[in-house]
Amino acid sequence: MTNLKFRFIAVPLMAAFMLLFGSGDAFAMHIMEGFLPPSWSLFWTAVSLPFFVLGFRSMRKIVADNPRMKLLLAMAGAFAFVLSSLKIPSVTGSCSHPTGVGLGAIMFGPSVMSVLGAIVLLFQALLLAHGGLTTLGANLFSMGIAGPFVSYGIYKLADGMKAPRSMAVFLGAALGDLVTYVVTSLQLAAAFPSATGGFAAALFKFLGIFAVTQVPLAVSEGILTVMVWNAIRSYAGETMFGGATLSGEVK
Amino acid sequence: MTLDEHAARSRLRDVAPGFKLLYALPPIAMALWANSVPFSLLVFGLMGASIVLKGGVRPADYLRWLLLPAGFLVIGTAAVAVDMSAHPETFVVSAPLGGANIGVTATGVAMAAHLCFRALASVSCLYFVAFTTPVADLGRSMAAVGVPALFIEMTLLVYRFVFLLFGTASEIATAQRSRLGYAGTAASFRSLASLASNLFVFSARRSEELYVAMECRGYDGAIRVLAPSSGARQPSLAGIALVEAALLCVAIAAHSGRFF
Repeated sequence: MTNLKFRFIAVPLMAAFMLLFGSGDAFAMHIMEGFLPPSWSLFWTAVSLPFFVLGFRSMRKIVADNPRMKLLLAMAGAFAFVLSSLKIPSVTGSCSHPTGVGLGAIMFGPSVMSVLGAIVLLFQALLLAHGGLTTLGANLFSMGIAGPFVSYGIYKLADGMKAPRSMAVFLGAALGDLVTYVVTSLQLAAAFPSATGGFAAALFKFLGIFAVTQVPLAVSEGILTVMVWNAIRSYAGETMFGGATLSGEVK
Repeated sequence: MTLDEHAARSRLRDVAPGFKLLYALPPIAMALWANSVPFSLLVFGLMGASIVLKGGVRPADYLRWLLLPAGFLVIGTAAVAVDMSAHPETFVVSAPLGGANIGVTATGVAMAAHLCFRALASVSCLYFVAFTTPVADLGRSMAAVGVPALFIEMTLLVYRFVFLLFGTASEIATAQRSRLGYAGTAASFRSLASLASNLFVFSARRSEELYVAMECRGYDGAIRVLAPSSGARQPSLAGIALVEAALLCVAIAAHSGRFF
């Protein structure tokens, strides 16, 4: 009986503490189901849709050119899903989950990532209860579109400016992560402007809250992405990237 | 137990996925639109009862899953409720912090309360789908509403590969842990990087092997599978329509009258 009582009190308390002060499970960046008002859900879905359609077209073209890319792309999607469920040590000592946004964008290009991102987010909602169906558009925009496009852009820019390759990868991954977090904060602030200070105050508030987990995470993920990138390149060589070996082959 | 394990064991598994989606998806839209606490509670209760009584999920399991999105819910609603301002008189409760005041306003609390219940109601609807419908069935119902075949095939392939990679990743992680691979931050980074890169190389090679195996068996760009025919008794469309209509009436009353 006392045991039961203990559990009644201790379990919710422990859960509350873990949520508030613990690792702050970094899936927290997925806007949960039902959190956005209907107008904003529709708005972000409408914003994401053109990117998704373009990404899907490019994917269809890739697959038509070389059918074996279908399986490689599906593997890439599954890889992103599994990667996002791993825990990485954060520089502040707690643990977070990587987003895999930067790695995917640098390896496969941002347009394909919007389709793979949609599939991964759908599974995260259905299998892990992170994110949701009505917020799929908003989450897709921050994690599948804004993050990858910025990652890829920065990576190409740094690479074009003759920065060391590892520097380019680090900047791409870390800034892609930061953009994801800023866009999510923007989405939340736009939907829930502060009663006293309006949109700007709300943005400040959400940025401040998520900075606790997201800024260290961006640094950790940048470091991890560089390490993974180097390891894959030393194993598979430069040709692995961009599917050059696979798509260049004559069938 | 993972969510799709629950879905595979569910008593509602053999019900055609279209019925289940028709039952659970409209209430999400209604709850979002009505934005009323009693209506949200009604939906939350209805879905919870359906999952536990009809689906045969143990209440403890359901509650454990409900706790998962709580992290975002607590942080998110707290952020909505709490505000900062130079004038303490706008707040119901406030505390000075530096030059400004931090506190909660009446409108902020009302917004946060509505938000919290609305989100819980929608999550319970999402859970009804997740707890009763295996992903393969969802793929078939996506085809029925005209989602492109390539997208569905991609979805099902990703679903299959997720478990393949999960298995491999957890084996590698166990091997690394047994060699103290995660003792300390530097070692953790090293181990995680080698895990992720090996996993990537493994998945690339595995996809190549799969392609060759499928090519050998006459793969021409489409994966065709037979839909299992189930003899399970299907619910009546009229019954579901009736429930939805009743919910819609309550939602309209709650939205327009605000008397709840």
